[in-house]
Amino acid sequence: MSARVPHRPTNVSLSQVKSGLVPLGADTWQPLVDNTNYLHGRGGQLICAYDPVYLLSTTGSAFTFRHKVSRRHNASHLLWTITLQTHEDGNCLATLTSSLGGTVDFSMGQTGIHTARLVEAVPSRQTGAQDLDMTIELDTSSSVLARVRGISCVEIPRYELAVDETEYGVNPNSLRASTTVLDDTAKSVGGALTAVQNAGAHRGAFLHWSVPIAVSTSDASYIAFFDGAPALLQRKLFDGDTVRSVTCYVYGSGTGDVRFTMDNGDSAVVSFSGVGSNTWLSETLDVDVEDPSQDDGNSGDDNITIEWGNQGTIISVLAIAIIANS
Amino acid sequence: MTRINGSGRYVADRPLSVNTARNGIANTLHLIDQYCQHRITWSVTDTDDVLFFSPGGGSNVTEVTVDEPFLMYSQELIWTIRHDGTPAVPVIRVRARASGAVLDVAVSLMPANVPRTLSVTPGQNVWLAAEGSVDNTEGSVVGGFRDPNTAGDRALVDRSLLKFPTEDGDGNTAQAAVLLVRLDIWGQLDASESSAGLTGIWLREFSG
Repeated sequence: MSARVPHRPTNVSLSQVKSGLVPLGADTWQPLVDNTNYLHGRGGQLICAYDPVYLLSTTGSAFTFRHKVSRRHNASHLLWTITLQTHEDGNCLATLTSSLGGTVDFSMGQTGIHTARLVEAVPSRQTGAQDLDMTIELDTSSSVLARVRGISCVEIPRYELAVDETEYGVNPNSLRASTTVLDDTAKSVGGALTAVQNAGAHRGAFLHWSVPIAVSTSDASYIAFFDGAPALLQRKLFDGDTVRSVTCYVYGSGTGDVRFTMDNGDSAVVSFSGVGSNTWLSETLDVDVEDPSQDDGNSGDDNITIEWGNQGTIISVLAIAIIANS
Repeated sequence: MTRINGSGRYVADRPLSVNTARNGIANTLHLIDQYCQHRITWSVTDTDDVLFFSPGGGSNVTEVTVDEPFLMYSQELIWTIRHDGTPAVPVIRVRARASGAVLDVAVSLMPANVPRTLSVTPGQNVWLAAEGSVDNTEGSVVGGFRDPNTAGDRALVDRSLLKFPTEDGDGNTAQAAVLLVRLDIWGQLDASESSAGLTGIWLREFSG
């Protein structure tokens, strides 16, 4: 048995739930379950879209972009969108390969910006921080080169959920009028409330950046990593929430520091000390939550400054990721 | 904003309280809206990395025509639908730089399968006047979905729902529909012998 995930949520009126008036009817319970199915079936942004502005300078060579992501356990398929730009007319064939095994060939002919899509199944459903890389290679038959102008990956919403305590799908038919009210964990009123209690709003990705060939510095003081300050805001789940934690990942080697500083004053330093082979290191950071009283939700302290160097020795960085802790 | 806790849970020997039901509904609707995501967070690491657009063209420079809009950036994105059926509010900041001229930047965000058109409606665009060769200029805007067939910032149509293959709970192949939108950033130079480039974009959804 499975529970259908609707395309879009259903608005349920709280005014239908009034103490001492009428029982809570099926026309309230069923939309509620539609919404819990919608919520549990959704996917999140795994890799924030970013523009590496990276020229694939040779054909027949593999260029790998590395990412650390926070996955949601219910996701079954991923959608990559890779934006490539060619600067002159001519044949250009690119092969895109995910570290999970999905691959697609993408052909370009005219000058312009082209979007390639790759859909792949997730071989094992897992949660928590994981590596997710994209390798792009131009075929040797290509007569023109391409530049990578965008990399993005999202979890595709589910079509159906299993009716169990793993995926928390609930069959709306168990909440039809005149059906028995059960304190069950996967159906009826009990199932609906179990689904509510285990629902979560997953905002997994806050910042991603990667290039195939490392950038380095040996500056003895902190210098800016990015030209401008990116911005992040966490979700506001509860009244009273002001900050929520994220994890800052750096993929690199050598000796040196990468410092993340929020406008709210919190900071985290990822330190590399004699790291020979490229590896992911991380630290946690408190980020402001959205302010619902503002038109754009901006708390006013949403900017993050990322700096690196500080040791006077060479540190090399290939990727930075800021993702949710859960 | 409330969130249900264990103490309100329905049990067989106790009637379901109205507060439990209200909290359950309110919590679900709140979580649907709080699912909003960061869709683009990007900044160049060095101004030398900027991809420039210039009437003169050249190495690592895309040749463009003065006084004509040109596409600087395009990205397809899945967008979040709020509990009331409307799309989440887009909040966008764009950073750009220009050398020796004024650069106008226009942003359009619309269903991915709508043909590209230059969005020039005031209030839906980011306008940057980045003069000089050193300083970056940042512009920002809130809201601004655009559907050429429908008035209103938040209008999106069903045809923007695209179907992708996915798998149901029993491991069978099925179809899932997602709302796919495309962000286009256009530039326009108003003088010859100048160049312009994007240095950063931030686009996120806000529950509003």
